[in-house]
Amino acid sequence: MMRFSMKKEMKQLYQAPLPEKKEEFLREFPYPRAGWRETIAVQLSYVRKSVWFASLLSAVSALLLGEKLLWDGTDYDLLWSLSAVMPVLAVLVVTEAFRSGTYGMAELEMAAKHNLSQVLLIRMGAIGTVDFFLIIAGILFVSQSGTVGMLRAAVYLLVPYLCTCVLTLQIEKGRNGRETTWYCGVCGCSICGVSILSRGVQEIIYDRGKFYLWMIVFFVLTLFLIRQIWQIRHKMEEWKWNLYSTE
Amino acid sequence: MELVFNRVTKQYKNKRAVEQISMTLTKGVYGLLGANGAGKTTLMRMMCGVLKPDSGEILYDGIKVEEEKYRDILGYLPQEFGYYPDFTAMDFLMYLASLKGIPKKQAKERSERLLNLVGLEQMKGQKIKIFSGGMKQRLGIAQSLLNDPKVLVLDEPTAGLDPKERVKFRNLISKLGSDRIVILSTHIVSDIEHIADVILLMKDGRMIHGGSLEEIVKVIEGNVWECRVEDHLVEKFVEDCLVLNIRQEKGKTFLRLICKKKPLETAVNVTAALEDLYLYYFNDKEEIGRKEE
Repeated sequence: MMRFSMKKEMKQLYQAPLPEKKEEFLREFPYPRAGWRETIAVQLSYVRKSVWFASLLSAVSALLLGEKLLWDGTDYDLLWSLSAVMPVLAVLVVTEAFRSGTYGMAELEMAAKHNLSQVLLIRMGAIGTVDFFLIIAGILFVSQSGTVGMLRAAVYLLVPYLCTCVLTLQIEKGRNGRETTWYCGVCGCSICGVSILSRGVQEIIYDRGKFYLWMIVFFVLTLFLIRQIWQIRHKMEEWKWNLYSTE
Repeated sequence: MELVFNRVTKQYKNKRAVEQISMTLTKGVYGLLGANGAGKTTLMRMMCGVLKPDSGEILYDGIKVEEEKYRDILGYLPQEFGYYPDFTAMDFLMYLASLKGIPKKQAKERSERLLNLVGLEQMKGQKIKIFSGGMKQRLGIAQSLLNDPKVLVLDEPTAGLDPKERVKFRNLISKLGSDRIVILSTHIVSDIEHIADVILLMKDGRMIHGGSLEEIVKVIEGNVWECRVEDHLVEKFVEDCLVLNIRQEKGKTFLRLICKKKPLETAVNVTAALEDLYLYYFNDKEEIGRKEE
């Protein structure tokens, strides 16, 4: 080991050269990249708190309203109130996921390492998962009330949810800018309105004999949604808001 | 370090925005010059993987531009960009840093350094919605440098910047161009003239000319003239030549024009500038200017 005094003497004898091209040298080394977990966590932190709050509030208030009506109304009231709130949940998930297009961030996000399609899927996946648990809770409540079984409850609740998802995604695909949120809102309110107006004819709508029709609609909507998600992942250029690009 | 364009074509409905572009870019600063609708933005979007070409491909050292590996070394400033309404300048950079896969600690350091570099350090906690156009543009430039990109694509980076900021930006780009590929488009000819090592001229989706400033102005070298004429003769020159500049001077009309032959006995042949070349290619009267050839 070099003696301390010798080090000191050498310092006095020879002036150490100033570092040259230090920045360039350091740049040769790749900096550690954030992993998937960190990316997902960061994306979750950017989902607006109001979206989580509104989703939870809608589901809980629909449940409470349905419970109350169930005591003084028909057997289908819980199902009716919950299915009416499904479009609201769907609009929240789609509009929040597609904020990039609404606020003009899409192009920047498309050129980033974790690009827009990944961001969209993370956001949709995260809010969709919360919605999934809320819907599961709804299904359990409905089936426990004894009105319909679990399968029928699931289909009755998921059809308005999927229908709104498919239609609002289609709006997002074809439109660009802040007005998209309004179009999606109108779409969600319309489906919600149809559900609310159906209160007097629940016996006909939820008739066991017609359940096969619900199943057909459910499968068709599921296929549409899968196709749209596949497009988000693989054919982003087909989404019109991504192509506001004629110079 | 090579960015290779191989017969890249893109069409929007009836309009061919980019047509059969083939070129190879290596380290240096490239200035893309062209009139509105020439296809510059479309080409830049394809370069960033934002748009897919209808045919042809763009490769960086053999990597397709659609791949994540390429986006990892890419910095991009779009012509127009928005921001989430609740974002501050720091939030904006931190958010984009997370998309670029930069861990939080490094992202914070880099964001602060870049805000300092673009002169926004005092505004880091302010909401972007109160920013002026120039400040937003500087923030956009800062985000494009977050991941210390090897390929830097800047679409109209000097739009909205005041002259002082533009000079600062030019110096920054010149420094960056020494060890990476920088490609920028602008309408401001003087910006390109000052920074670009190679100037690329685009027209109607095609790359019509490319090279250093000295190389590309050769096309009109020897044909640029300046003269002072009586007012009533101006019409004749406007009809016969491509007039680049016209102004009143000492009771006569000063003209700078492109003519194959000496337009007037007193006309002086002057050195051609990039602006002359731009007007030569992109002026509505270009046919007149070139009819003598």
